Amino acid sequence: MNRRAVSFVEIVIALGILIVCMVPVLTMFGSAGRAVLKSQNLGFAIGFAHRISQHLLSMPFDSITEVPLPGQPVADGPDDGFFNPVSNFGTTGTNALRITKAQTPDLWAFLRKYEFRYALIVNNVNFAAGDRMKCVGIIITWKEGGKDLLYKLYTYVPDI
Amino acid sequence: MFQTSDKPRSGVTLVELLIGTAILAVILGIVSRWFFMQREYQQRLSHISAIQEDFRRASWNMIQELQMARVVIWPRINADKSLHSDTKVVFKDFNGQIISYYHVPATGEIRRCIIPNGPGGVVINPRPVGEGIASASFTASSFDNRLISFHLSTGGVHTLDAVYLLNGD
Repeated sequence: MNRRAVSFVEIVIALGILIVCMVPVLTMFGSAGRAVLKSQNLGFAIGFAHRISQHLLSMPFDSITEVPLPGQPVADGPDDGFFNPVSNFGTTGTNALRITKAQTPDLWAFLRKYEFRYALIVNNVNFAAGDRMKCVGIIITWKEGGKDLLYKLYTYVPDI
Repeated sequence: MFQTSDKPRSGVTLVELLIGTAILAVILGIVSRWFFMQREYQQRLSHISAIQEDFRRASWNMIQELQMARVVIWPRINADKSLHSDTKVVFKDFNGQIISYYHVPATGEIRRCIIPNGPGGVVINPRPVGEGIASASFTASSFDNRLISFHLSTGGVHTLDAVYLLNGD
């Protein structure tokens, strides 16, 4: 019987093929993970934009002004009526908590990690004579995996 | 006693086999480490996804009812006009019932109850409005008590949302 054994070169080639086959399978894990992360941040951005839209309804009409791009950072941001201060469990303004590393470290770390920002584009619109209405474009931006991502929501704020 | 063969040998030597096994072991070590790291990462992401789903459900349930409410009874802004937060919100709904959403830290739930506007006991809904929520705060920040902002968080995952009451009292 003419038996031919496996040579060392063949073993190495077989291992190479095995690795080449395994790489796409393993990269699937990474891409699935990125999709979940993207969904998480998008979900947050949607709630974030909704929060601004609701705050706009309670603001004095003339105080709704443009916040140009690249927008206002939320972590370590200025007092803006939307996010800072964020909460206050005390009975005076001195107890108000802002989104800073010292006062709300967990929330600050999350917002800072993805560099969440918001911008507002404000236009006056008229549907009928005498209307006073503003069309506000709420733009939420964040960074994820080296990419700049964006979510936008348009809302109409009447002067009532 | 010893015979020699002229046939050429074409098998794997012990050294080749050992080298092949060593290479395989190294590769398997790297790949398995990567695999377990990715699996752990996946589990963490699935966990985050589940938390977000809990947040969405809780937010949706509360916003649907709150935006049709007539007035927020608690929390109210402070005397110095600064915002005021609490782990519960009490409001009068469209039909005049007094409703409260409150966070229960021990179970991580947001519960809903009806507070009688007169004699009788508090009626707690059997099903929670939200589950898996480590902390919740409701913040009043408008002078007319029609805007309630809320912040839900669990294990580094957050949601910041708000609801403006559409109806007047």
